[in-house]
Amino acid sequence: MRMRPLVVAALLTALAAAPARAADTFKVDPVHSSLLFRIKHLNAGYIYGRFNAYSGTFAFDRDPAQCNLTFEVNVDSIDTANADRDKHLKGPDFFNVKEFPTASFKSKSVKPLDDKTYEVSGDLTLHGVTQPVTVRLERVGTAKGPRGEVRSGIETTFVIKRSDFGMKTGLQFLSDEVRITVAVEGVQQR
Amino acid sequence: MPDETALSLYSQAVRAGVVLPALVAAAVLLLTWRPWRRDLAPESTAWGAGLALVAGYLVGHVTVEGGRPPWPPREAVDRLWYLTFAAAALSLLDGWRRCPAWLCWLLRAALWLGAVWLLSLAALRQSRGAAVPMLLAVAVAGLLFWAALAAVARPLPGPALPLALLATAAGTAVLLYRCHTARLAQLAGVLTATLLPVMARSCVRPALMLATAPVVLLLPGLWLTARLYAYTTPPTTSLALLAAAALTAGVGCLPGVRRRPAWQRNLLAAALATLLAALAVWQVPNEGGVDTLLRSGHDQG
Repeated sequence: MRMRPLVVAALLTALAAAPARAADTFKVDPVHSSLLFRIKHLNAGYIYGRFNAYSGTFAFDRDPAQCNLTFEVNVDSIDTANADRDKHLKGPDFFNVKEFPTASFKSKSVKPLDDKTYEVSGDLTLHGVTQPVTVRLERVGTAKGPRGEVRSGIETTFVIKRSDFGMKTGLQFLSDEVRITVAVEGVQQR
Repeated sequence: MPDETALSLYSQAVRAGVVLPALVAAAVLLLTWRPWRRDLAPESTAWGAGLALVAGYLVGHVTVEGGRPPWPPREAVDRLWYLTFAAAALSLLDGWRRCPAWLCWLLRAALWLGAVWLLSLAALRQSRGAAVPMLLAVAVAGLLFWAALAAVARPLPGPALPLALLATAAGTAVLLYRCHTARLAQLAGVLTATLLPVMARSCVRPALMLATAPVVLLLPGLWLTARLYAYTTPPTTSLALLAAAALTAGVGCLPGVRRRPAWQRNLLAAALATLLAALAVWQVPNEGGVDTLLRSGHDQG
């Protein structure tokens, strides 16, 4: 019986010394994710395109310090359903893929707005230019997959000006503003 | 019925990429003309032509790109713009008759080798050195091209060389357009536009000798940039034919042609250059170039 206070004290000390619980990290599953963009053509209509190859991780928690999001896109995977146009977009006129093969986003701060919505600020690097962007991101849901793995989804839509990233070709016939939608499903990492 | 939107876009591009650089080059040529010195040695006129080409290109590049390239330069195209200033300095040397030949060639070699290195930075990084043999070949070929062009420029003051270069630059613009890069094609168009007043000026006395530095930097510089970064790579054959087109002015030095009247020699050089440039363009199939951004699906079908 005399040992009990000692055991309790030891347990409390151990608990206090333990690191804070890290948020669950999810790895992007490209099969169940989409990265889309939309641009206005000749001020008459919209063209949609997508990127097919990307990777990244995300972690969200009630504690903002535990949240982070990183994303890297292989720009060579651009796909607008027209091979000629894709060649043009990959060339020096737009993405200049051979000089800048990747685009990336790295979060710097995450602010929970409510249970499902976060304001994420970070650096977007595109075409060799890094600019700060802030996006409103929604956590779609979390569920178990067929193999028992835990899956979680996020989605955000935001607008950038391509001229801010040094892509100024054809501003007369393709809008400066590009709407980007990132809908990602991630698999929890063990 | 013509597409009015497309027509207005093309006319904007023509104003920015053709009219303005041509006017700037013409203004510099007028300022450096010195028509009262009809006895000037052709070498003494080279710097004026060089500065005209450089000024026209610098202004045209900024207009086409929608602003001055960033500093530090980010892309090969940006670096080409900054390198043009060095070409201006070398143009002044071309007009300085007392400059020792070895110094001229040392500086020319430094400019061209520096240009090859700066334009290919990204390609070198991504190929992890595999591109080095190709770039060494480009460096040597560029120096040989410069030597040949300088050899043609010196004994042939007058319109023969500007005519040949005009055909070459115009051919380059069409070729790059077919290689899916309107941006580089427009920059080649800017160079073509700046050559127009140079060609016109070279028809009147005092005879004009062309400074070679801007041409050697910009033409092969654009070829190399397209070769490294365009998504439809310009074929080596096309680039070799364009280089040959630029040198066709040299036919005026050949025995049998040398004694013919100047207008016949110039016409022959222009015709040969146009033929070679057309052959260079013909090597790349016309898949619509960059028109996919403007044409409708019906047009493409």
